This record gives sequence, C-alpha cells and structure tokens, in this order.
Amino acid sequence: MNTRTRHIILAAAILALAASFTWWLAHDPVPNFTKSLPGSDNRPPRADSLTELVHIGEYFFAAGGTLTGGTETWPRFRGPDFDNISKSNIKLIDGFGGQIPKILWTIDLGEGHAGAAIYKGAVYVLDYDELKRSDILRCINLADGKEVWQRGYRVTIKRNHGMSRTVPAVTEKYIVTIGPRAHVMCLDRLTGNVKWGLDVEKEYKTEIPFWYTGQCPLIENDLAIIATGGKALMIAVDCETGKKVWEVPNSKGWKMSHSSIMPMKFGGRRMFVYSAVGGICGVAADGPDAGTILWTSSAWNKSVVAPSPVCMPNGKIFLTAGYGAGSMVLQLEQSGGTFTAKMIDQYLPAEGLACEQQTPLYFEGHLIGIQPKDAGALRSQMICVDPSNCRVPVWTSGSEIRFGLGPYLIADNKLFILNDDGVLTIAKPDIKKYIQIDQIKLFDGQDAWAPIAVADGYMVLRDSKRMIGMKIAVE
Amino acid sequence: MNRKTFINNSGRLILLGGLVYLTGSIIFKRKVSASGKYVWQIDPFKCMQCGRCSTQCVREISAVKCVHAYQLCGYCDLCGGYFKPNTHKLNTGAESQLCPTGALKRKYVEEPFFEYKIDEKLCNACGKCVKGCGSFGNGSLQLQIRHDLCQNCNECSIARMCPTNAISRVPIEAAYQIKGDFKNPALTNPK
Amino acid sequence: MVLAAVIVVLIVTDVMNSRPDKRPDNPYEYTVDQFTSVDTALVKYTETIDFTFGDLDLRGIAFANNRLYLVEDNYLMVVSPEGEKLAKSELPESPGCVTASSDGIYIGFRNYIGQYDPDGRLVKNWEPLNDTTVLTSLAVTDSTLFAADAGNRRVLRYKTNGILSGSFTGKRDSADLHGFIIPSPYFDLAVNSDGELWVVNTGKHAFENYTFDGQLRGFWENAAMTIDGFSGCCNPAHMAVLPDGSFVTAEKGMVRIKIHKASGEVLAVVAPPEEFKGETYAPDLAVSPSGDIYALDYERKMIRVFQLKK
Repeated sequence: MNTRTRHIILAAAILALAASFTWWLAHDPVPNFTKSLPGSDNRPPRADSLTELVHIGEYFFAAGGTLTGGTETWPRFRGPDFDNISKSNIKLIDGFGGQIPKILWTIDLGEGHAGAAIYKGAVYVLDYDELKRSDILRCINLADGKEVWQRGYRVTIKRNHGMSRTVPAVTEKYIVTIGPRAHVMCLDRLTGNVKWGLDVEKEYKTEIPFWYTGQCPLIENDLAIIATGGKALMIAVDCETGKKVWEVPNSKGWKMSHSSIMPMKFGGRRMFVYSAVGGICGVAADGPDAGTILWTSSAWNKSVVAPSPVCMPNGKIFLTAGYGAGSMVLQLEQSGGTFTAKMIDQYLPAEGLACEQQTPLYFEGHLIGIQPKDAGALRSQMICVDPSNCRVPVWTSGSEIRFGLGPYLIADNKLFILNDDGVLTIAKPDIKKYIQIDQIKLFDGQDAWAPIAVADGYMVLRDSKRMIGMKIAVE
Repeated sequence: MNRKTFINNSGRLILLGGLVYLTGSIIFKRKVSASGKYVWQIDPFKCMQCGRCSTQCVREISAVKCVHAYQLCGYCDLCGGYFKPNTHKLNTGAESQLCPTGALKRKYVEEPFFEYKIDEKLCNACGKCVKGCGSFGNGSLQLQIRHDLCQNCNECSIARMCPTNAISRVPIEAAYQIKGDFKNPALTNPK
Repeated sequence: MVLAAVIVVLIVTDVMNSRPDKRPDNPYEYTVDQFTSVDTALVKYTETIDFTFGDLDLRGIAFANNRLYLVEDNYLMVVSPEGEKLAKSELPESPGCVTASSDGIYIGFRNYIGQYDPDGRLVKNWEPLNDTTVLTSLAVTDSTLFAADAGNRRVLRYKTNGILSGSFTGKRDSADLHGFIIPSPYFDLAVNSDGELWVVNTGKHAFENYTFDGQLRGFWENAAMTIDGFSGCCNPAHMAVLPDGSFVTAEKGMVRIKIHKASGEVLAVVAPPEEFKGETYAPDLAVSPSGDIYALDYERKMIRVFQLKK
C-alpha cells in the first residue's frame, strides 16, 4: 500500500469518525421525550395565588345617603391617641336601666371583624362582600346609618373566622385601608376618589398571615405607614402621590403579623413600634434618619401575634399574644442616641396579664386586659396589673364575671366591654378594684370581636355579620 | 411382589394420590382452572414493591405494570403515589413526581379532586407509586402482570426472586388479582 | 467433565446470588426515612405505662368520668386510668367508635348509635341511618351529640335522647367551601372545653371549626410530610382535644402522634414514628382532664399512655 492510499484511507477514516461524531451530537436519542411541567393537569389557577389580578379601587358606587356632619373623630384603630380612650367631653350613659340603648341603625356586613373609624359624622368600614367577592370601603352616615358611597375592588377571600379584619385610618384629606390580603388603598376622604393602591403581597413578596391581614394602617404627616414584611419591614408611602418615602430593609426576614404599628415617644425620639413575627423593632418616625431602625429585639418571637404593643411613657413596652405565647415586658434604654430593648419579664398566660386578641388598655399607670382561655384560674377574667409586676393582678373581675374575645375601651371615664355574643358591660375604670356598673344583651350575636368606635356620643360596634350604631350620649 | 402386582399397586397409588389432591383442592378451596390453563399473577396483598418486577422480567420492559383500581382511589390532590414525599408544590412538575418515568398522569376533575392514570408504555413496574399509595393512600395503585405482554414462561424469573412469594400461577379465568372490594371488613370497620 | 463442572459452578453461583441476603438493593426504593426521625427536643411526652387485655380487636377509646371506655369486637370495657378492668359487657355487633359523658356511653356501630348507661347497660339503640353510613367518630356535649359519617361525608347532630336534629356536609354555595373530603373511612370530630365543634377534614388535611348548625367559622390546614403538617392522602386519622384547647393528632401511614395549637402550629411530639411498627393504623386517642394521652395501638393491641415529661 503506497503512501497516497494510506492517506486516503486515513482521511476517509477521519471523515467517517467526524461524521459519526456529528451524528452522535446531533442525534436526539429520546425523540419522544416530553417535559413534565407544572400545569399539565389542567388545574385552574388558584384564586388565592399571586396570579389573581386585583385592580385596587376599581369601582365606586354612590349609595344615596348624605353625610349630616359631626365634630369628633375616632380616626383609626385605638382612637385618636392610640390608647383606646376617648377624651370627648360628651356625657355618656352610665347604665342601661334595663333598656337597650337606642339602636339607630343596623347594617348587614360580610362575615368578619373589621371595625369602624369615624370622622366628623362619617363612618368608614372596610367590608368584604361575599357575593361581589370584593373588599368594599363603605362610607356611612353616623347619625342614620345611610350608606353614602362604596369604593371597592374584586379579590377572592375564603372565609376563615370571617373575612374582613381591619380598621381604616382617616385624616382630613385621606383614607387608607388594608384588605385581608394586604391590598392597601388610599382615597380622597371627601370624594372617595382613588389616590393609589398597593398590593403588598405582590410587591413585597409578603407572606399573608394566617387568618389574613389584621394590621390596621396608620397615617402620620400624610404618610401611610405600613408594616409589609417580605422584602421590607416597614414602609412609608406619600398619601398624595403613592411614592415610597422610605423603606426599612427586612434583613432578618421577619414576617407580617396581625399586630398594628404603634407610635411611641422615648429618649427624645418619636418612633414606630412594630411587633412582627420574628421580633419587635422601633423605627425612627421623624428627623433625617426617618425610616431607619433605632432598635430591634428578637426576644419576642411568636408565631401568631394579634395584640399591638402597649407603649408606656417610661419606655416600657408590654407585649402579649395568644395560643400559649403569654407576655413580655421590654424596657427601652437610650444612651448617646443609641437605643436598646432589654427584656425585663416574660411569662406564660397563666402567670400574669396576657391577651389573645385585643390590646390591653393603659390607664392611670396600669394595664387592663382580658385573660385568654389558657390562663388557668383567671381564664377570661378582666384583670388589672401594675406594669412593674404584670404577674400579680391588682384586681380581677372574679370567677363569676368572665368575658370573651371582644373589645373594650374607655369613654367618659366608663369602661365599655363587649362580649363575643353581644353583651355590653359598663364598668368603672379603676386601678384598685373592678367595679361593674351595668350589663345588657344588645343583640344575639356571634364573634363580636371588632374594635368599638366612639364619637359625638355615638357608639359603633359589630358582631361577625352586622354593624350597629347607637346613641349612648345622655339625652 | 411380581411385576404385575407392582404395576397394579402403583396404578392404585396414583389414583389415590389424585383423589387426595382433588379432595384437598376442594377442602382448601384451591383455585383450579376449569380450562386447565394457568398464568402468572401477583397477589397485591403480598406484594411489597421490592423493585424486582422491574429488573427481573425477561421482557426488556417488564410485563408487570401498575394498574389502578379506581373504586378504591380517593382522587386526592396530595397523592402519595404521585408525589415525592418531600414535595412542596402539588403540581405536575417533574421535580415533584415520584414516578421515575413519568408514567403516572394526573388530570384535574374539580377542586380538590384529580384522576390518576397510568401510561403503560412508560411504566417500568418499579412499584414506587404502589408503595406510596399503599403507605399513605388507599392502595388503589397495584402491580399486575399484563398477560398481553407476559410470555408465561415455564418458570417466571420474577417469581423466582420475589421475596414474599407474591407471584404464583393462577387460573386463566381469574388472571388478574386486583384488590378493590369495599366489602372488605378491614375497610368497612376501620381502625 | 470440565463443561459439567462449569455448569455446576454457574448454577451454584446463581443460586447463591439469589439468596435473599444477596439480592441487589432496590434501585427504586421508596423511603420516608428523612421524615421518621424527629428532633428529640420536640418530643415532650414520655410513655409511662401500657396495658393490654390480650388478643382483642380493639376499635375505639374514650375518657370520661375518670374512666376509660374501650370498644372491641363485640364488647364494651370500662377500665380505670391505670388499666384495671372494671366492667365488660357484650355488644350486639362490631362497634366503630365510642364517646362518653357523665350521662352515659355512646357507641357508634356502622350505621346507628347505641346509648348505654355509665355502667355499660344498654339504654336504647337509636334509629338506624341509611346503608351507606359509616360512623367513625362521636363527640358529646351537655345536650348534643355529634357523629361523623364517613360514608356520606356529613356530620350528624343529635340530641342526647337520640333525636336526630340535623346534619351538615360543610358545603356552601361558594365554590371555596367544598365540604368534607373523606377519601378513606377516617373522619374524626371533637368538641373542646369552650364548646367549639372541630371536625377533621382529612382530604384537606384541615381542622375546621363549625357552629353547631354547621356554619364554618374557621379552619387551618397543613399537608406535609414534615413534622409541622399531616402526611398522606387523609390525615390526621384521629384526634382529641387537650384541656387547653390544643389538639392531639394521630396519623396513619407514617404513624406519629403530635400536639398542635388551636391555631395550627405544631407544639410538641408525643410519639415519633419510630415508636410504632412501620406503616400502620393511626391510634385512636383519648385525653384525661389532666392532659394524659391514651393511644390505642391496634398493632400491639394495647393502650399506651403518654405523659408530659417532668
């Protein structure tokens, strides 16, 4: 075999090899291979997933009522001063005399626990309408219960201990609401026109708390303050423009709780205190460092937190939660502009003041609240403690007088307590003993858990399915 | 004993043996094929899903297939036979599926029910879905020898390796042994 | 000769390799081992005593009046909390479940309820239900008895004198409220000390709280093999309520007993899967007023008592 022949054979072999290699590379050994991808079972997208398109504030309905006016306000969750104590000078009834107070109006609502805000004769409640599958902000005339307008948007909520939860925040110019799935809506108060909307779940990748969002919004200096969880811990949004003014990074990955943001002043600083799932923090509310974290503590880390922090003047913060969590007392300290939160007490519900759902009252240097079901002998009793020792009650309502998970507030130096089933109790707020004045069954209700609102001598309260307005001012 | 007597005695013994066999069959209710034909089949109550049906069959892709007793199925969303134990998302993504060949398919019926079907061309008889369904579901997925695929060997090579002797010859008239009787006391009197 | 030797060697090798201990591992092994081991810090209960009554086919357990009430195939037994047999009476047929109060003992047979006095004597058999009924759980309050019917996926409400006063399936007009999804005959319910009716919707791995007239108030659900959820197609198969309102749950398949808060978070493990014989039945549960947990282990045919670790 001469050289030329060898070269030809070699070249042919190389070519054959190259061709084989190319075929091997190009050949699909599994031509019938099909990918198994999500969705091939034809399951329709779930309504509660992030895929649902929600157009916040998409529709408006003028309901025909007229606002007849008023002077006082209960503009947000826990009232004007965040303490659930009305400072109004209007004299309120000090007993029922065996008669139910005059119920001026009753409105059927979607099942839930959303409470009312009152602003100069207008009642605002963020309802959920199961038929329309919508969050609806209802504007109602306080005096006669006639509905003035509705502003809403379609969103799917599956009932779980009702659907609605929160109290709107209202100022002269704005109304801010948070829906069960954390849709924030800002409206012009007078017209009900939409300023902006924010889908917190989508935008911040927030995990909506079990039983939906219970956090009530806060407006301060025309900024809507929202604890988002997810990508941010807390944000401030300009009510006029919807622009984010600041965002607090959520470096520890804390989650949104049912607790609401409470303002606090301590050490010369005004701050927003928020009890998240994961820990508690104080965020600067003003100054050049507004929107930055002043202090945090992971000592308080409970999986379900509904009550809001009770911020006391001496820097103490009372924290409580249900489902066996118990309570904790933190002491803020400030040194050279640096804040620290020191845990000074922590105990189980049977060992001291604890609350499952409502936030305790801070009254004349004492804390007043209703014990949860797992509080041993004191279960469901109202008790009062000195914050210096929350474990020892100053007084209790006694084993014969127990309450449920309903709300309580102080107005005209009277303590109004609503039981789950519609029994309204009037007691005298006192730091020495429990003094019950009167009690009456207002309605046959269930799960009357929403906060009460009081203004202009009216009281607005609800059970799980209806809201009532009644005159409690002395005629 | 002469040869004739030996043959006679042997014949009697054989007849006696046959009689004993027949009597025993009746007494112990052994299934006897009317046609005299038998095929190999798996007893699903004995099967422990060892994986050998997939690897020991003489067929290149095993003649054993997963079958589905629909009357037993709960049509569940979270199906122990369909999803890997550690799956987080109940969807049809490959990463969620237990079946190594994607032979088990599911279709949405209505919330929250799903129908599960087996693509027999893909099923390799590994038994993973059967194990998952039996452990965490109602046991509606079961392994059976498909007689359109089985070569009915004289000695079944899977049966030889079966650790629980779940494979035996059964009369051709009852060629499939699928559990699925709701009157089973174990099901109607649940513990 | 050589060929014969080779054949013999081949046969022997093949036979040897076919021995059970020589068989290759299952390349398709289905394992849940990663979920059977539990963080020991979560195991807050310890098994204190067990008692057995021989080779009995036990069916259900209840605690009331400082007594345990056990039903087994055709017998009702009254047992002290320490395991001493106090009484035994014959039942007309095989029971499925039992509950008790100070007023009496109620036994669920397949499609009817038998009412017995506290000493185990028959008071009366209640009106039978339809043939598709499979009663799997009973719960009694002062004047109301609830029965879970897995066959018809409904909860029946009786007066304690045996009058059927209503039933509900958990369904509503809304498509979200799908009703009870019961893939297998495991369907438990209980009334807690606050008088709240809780029903286990096993197909949804959900605890659902209903008003007595059948309106859904709230629910929580968690389908997961991990310790915080419920595994399989239909779990928890059994549950009981602790005095503080939390739930003791027992799962079938990967058997484990856990405690969940009323809000759903897992609080403790009572018995991890390793305490049970492989994949088997979920133990029926009963709870004493002091919080001791009685688990009916069907496989070992014994009552296992778990108490909070000191």
